[in-house]
Amino acid sequence: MEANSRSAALTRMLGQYQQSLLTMCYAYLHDRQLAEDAMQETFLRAYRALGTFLGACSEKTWLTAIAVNVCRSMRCKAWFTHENCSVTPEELPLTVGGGYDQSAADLAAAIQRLPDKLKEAVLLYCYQELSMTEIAGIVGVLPSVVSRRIGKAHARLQGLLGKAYLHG
Amino acid sequence: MDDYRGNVRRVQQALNQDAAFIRPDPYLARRVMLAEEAEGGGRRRRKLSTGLALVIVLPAAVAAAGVVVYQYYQRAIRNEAAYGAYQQWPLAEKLDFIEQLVSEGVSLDAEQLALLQDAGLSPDAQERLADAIITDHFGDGHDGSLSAVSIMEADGAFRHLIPGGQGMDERNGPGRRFRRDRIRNASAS
Repeated sequence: MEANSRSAALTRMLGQYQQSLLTMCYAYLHDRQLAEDAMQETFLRAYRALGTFLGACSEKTWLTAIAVNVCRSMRCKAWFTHENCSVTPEELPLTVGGGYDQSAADLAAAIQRLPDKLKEAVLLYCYQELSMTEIAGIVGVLPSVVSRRIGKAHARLQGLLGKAYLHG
Repeated sequence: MDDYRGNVRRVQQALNQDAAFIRPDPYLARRVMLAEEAEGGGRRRRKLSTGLALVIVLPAAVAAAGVVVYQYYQRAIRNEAAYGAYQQWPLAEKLDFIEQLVSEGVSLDAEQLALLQDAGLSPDAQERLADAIITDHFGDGHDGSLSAVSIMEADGAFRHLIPGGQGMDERNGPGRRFRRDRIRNASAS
């Protein structure tokens, strides 16, 4: 692939997917700096592999798979387990005005408290809206396992949030 | 469906709000291209993948441990390096693997094997049947992902490494009778 068409493809992919992937990476890692690093690494890997992407799956699924792998690698790094990845007060969303929704914040916090595998299933199924088969391909398990994880995640969220989760 | 849409909308709203303070980087395209140039256009030396490392290390480790090495272990390891866990293998590899198991004298369900020979089966049905035969024999692996190590483990290959370990070389693992039902379902469909 020529340099011009590669950079055009990169720009298009960034415009189309950067926001949702960034949000997903932040939900994965819960650290702004790491999420931004993950984003750069994701698009760097995609940029390198542009010529080899054969379209066996959708572009969104392909990029999401790369982002998931990047996030997993970052999470596995030894220092990640020791670093304080909490959000600083300056980074907290404004709690007044601006359409802030407390129930949405509670749901986001509850998702953060899910075990990694269940959180991953929720992010891919509910946030990225991928099919169970696509998620199975990304995560490397059977679709039935994905289905079970999503069921468990919903049950946990309902347990944590009660009616607030069921009825928004 | 409404429940699904409702959940999706709520999760998206929650996560978008949670990450609202992070804005996409308008210079990311430029930074990616600079990083690519700085790292030599992707012509870096490839890191050793886990699968390849397994291909190199596992046979030696297994042999050193005095474990009987079947040819199909090597095939499983090679396939794992190329495609990932058993579930990701192409149908042709799954069928070849079963053929190799039979040729090495592994006792598989004769009824299911006969069904698999049926030329009228669709590729999907063949794959379901092949999966059922393999998972009945070796189990589902860990968390639904059947790896080369899981296959060897199911054979009891590591039994003598665990003090007092029972292994599964008698092929009577606790999950076996429950997997029977799945075989029947696969062949029925």
